[in-house]
Amino acid sequence: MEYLYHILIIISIYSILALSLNLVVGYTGLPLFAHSAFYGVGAYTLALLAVQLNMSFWLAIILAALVTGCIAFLMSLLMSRFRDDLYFLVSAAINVVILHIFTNWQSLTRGPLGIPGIPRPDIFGISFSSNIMFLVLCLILLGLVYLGCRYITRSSFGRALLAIREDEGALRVFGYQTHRYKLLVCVISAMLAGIAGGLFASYITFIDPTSFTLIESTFIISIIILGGLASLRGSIAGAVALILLPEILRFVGFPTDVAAQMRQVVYGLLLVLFMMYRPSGLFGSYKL
Amino acid sequence: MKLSTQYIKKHFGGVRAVNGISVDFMPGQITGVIGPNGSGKTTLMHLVTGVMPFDSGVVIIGDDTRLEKIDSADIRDLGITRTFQNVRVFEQMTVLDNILVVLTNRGLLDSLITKHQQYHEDKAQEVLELVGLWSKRDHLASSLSYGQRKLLEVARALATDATIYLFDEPFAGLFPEMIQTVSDVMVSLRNTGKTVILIEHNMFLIRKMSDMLYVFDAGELLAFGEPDYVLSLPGVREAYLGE
Amino acid sequence: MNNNNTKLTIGIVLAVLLIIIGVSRGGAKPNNPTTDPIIIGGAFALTGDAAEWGEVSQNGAQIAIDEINERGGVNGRLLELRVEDTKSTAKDTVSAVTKLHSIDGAKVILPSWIDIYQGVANVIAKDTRAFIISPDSGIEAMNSESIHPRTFSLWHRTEVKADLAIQDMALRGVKKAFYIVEKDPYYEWVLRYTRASAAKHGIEIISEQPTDVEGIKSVVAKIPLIKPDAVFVGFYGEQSNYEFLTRYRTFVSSSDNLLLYGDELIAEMKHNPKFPKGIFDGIIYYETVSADDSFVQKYSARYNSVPQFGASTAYDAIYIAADVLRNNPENIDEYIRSKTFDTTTFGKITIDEIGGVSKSKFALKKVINDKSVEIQVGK
Repeated sequence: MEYLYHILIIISIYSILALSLNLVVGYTGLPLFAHSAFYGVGAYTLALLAVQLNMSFWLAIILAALVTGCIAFLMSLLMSRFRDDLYFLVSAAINVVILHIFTNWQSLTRGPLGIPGIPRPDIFGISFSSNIMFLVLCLILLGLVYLGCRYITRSSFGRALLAIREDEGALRVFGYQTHRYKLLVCVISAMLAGIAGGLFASYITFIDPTSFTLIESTFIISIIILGGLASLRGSIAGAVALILLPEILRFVGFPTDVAAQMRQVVYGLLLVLFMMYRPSGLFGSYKL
Repeated sequence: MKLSTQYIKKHFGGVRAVNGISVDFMPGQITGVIGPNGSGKTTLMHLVTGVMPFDSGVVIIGDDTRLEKIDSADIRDLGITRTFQNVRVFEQMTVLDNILVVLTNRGLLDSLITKHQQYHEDKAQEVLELVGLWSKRDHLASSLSYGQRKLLEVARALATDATIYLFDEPFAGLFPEMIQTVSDVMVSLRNTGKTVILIEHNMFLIRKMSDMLYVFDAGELLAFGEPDYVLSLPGVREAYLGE
Repeated sequence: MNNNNTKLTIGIVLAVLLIIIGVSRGGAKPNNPTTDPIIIGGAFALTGDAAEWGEVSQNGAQIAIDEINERGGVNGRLLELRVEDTKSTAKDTVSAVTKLHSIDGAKVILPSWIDIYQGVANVIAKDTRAFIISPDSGIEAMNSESIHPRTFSLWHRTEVKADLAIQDMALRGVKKAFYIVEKDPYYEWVLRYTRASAAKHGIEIISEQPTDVEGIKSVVAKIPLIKPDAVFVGFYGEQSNYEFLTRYRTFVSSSDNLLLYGDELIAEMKHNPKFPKGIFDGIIYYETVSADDSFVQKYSARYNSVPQFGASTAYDAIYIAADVLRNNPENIDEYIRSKTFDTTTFGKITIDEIGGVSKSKFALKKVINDKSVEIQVGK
């Protein structure tokens, strides 16, 4: 059962990441390629606060979200000058810069050595150190994030995000200061990603820069494309699919000497086939 | 409310798209704007609605508001609204949402805290019924025909309750019944004292609907006056009608 | 559309539930603990950046398991190697180890590269019958700062190697050494021990840790500007070493009298046909003193290649694990630290307080005309 709890914990964390990214990419149409940076900032913030200041998990995760939100705010001010391909590239470049900060600001982050000994949460005498309890915590936070995203997408704000995606120029004519909307949705998205990062740090109890590379950003984008852009259910479904599928393939009997490679091939083929027959994803109706 | 420009200019490199045009669009009138393709009609619309910045000149709204630059996000508060030559509805949103987004609170935190209210839906119903699209309210805008999307744009503009309306080729591609609907809307706006600006190539409609007419050619003002008079001018006939 | 989505949702939820039930009941936990095979878990990087390390460890482990099984196994039970791919990522390393421990019932796990991907120790932390022996992780990076229970590594000791290189430099009159190495936890520890040792010998250490090929090119160009007496190179990959060495030969001439050092990876890299003849000439590197060549012969005969990286340490890890399983001690940590093990990689060894090989021995070698020649320190 530990293995099952582990998978479900990872699914929960990536669901939060996917939900938050979908707000920006799926609902607002901004090609953001920096989500692993926000994830990492949240993780490092919680790790530093918990390990160096002995701060409680709950306060640390709130601060992790706030710090991530502040960084996203500054990033968005810079990125607001760009659109489409350039926006994508600039966000990727910022992702790389932040990753380099994790790796090279050694006096703060310990660089490649990472930060070990991150404690699991404890509140009012209830310990979340076991995987089952940590899973409960993840599911609660996932539930809250889902409800929050649902609220946002069903509000007038959410409607405006969709209109920005469709035609920002046309929306501005109707009195919308669209750059403020884009700024706020990026900040909200980043804060949620920071929460996911804090959860990840607390679960693995160790973080280092290798968990927050561009490959991770690519993986999170893949989740929302597979699950469906502008779909909250799709965000979770995509996380379930992309986390579960490789784990299921561990149980498929390939010859030992090629098993690992065959699993990667099968995984890739299944994704390609799926996107050919359902390009808008599992639950998406919005097409790129 | 009057909308005027004074010596407004927009050049694209060597191309003088709008070259020092001064015009007045009066309230309680439908003012037509005609001219050959590339004469600067749509460019002028973009300039006065902030979609494109102008190089020099002034836009005057009402008697007091002189603007040397305009941001498109500000025109609504100035009482201006418009439709586009190339239809720009929000394709992957429903017909109803296309209208609601224009009606609901635009303040950042306001829009986050509040959902749309019943009166927003009532107003949406009113404008959609006017253009005959209420029954399609739950359909995606992308599923509408071209003519229906044009009607949706008109409804969206109406929903703003503006004082100045700019319609850029609203009749192109419409069936006769739809043309009647749109022209009825414009006449109604005119009769309630709104400023209506109409860019159109359909001479029959222009002659029928416009109270006054501007003719542009190569970024400059060629003629102005009542439609019958303007359309009889030899210069206009040569430049625009090819006679 | 909504009906289809609802059906799809229900279908997916049912599928996930079925999978969950299947996974929970799946795996091959022994039903008969006295005759069923003992599962040894191999959490190896078989794909991704570290793939070349994982495959050779798997091979080395399999040779040991087959030998033990030919002699009747452990206490009458055969050993079975179950391998999971860690995909060279932290998340998948934890998944692989968790699956091996909780689904396959492995009490012994050989995970690769866990100095980079810490967090796996938590998986077995509460199971006092389970232990981890890594064939290729730097134990200082893993265990120095907090000792994880029942977590060991047989990889060559960083402190000993770093000190050996500095000793040689000191005897050759080096005053300034330029270390160009990977940016990862293992080489961070190399630099730590190097600096500590260099401080005792009055050698200034300058370091650069390029993270990609372009970085390597830039760093090599700095060598003539820094004017060190010695350069030390430490990269894992073939491409990185190739880029470094080809650039090095361009920027540095033999008349510069610059000493070039490498680490144990040079021993394997030399055999790689991609590298042109003579490119390794002059490089001084350290290599473990192997107890015997029998493992090399066994490995070459079976896999048609020379064993590299963690192949021999994986082989040794299996024998140590078999010893523990055979004797079934009450406290595995105390047991392993109290014994002397006879290994093919190092000869007789003990395991020290942080879970690494105590006093591992190294030889210094120099490449002369493409051949490796053992040299005395400083000579």
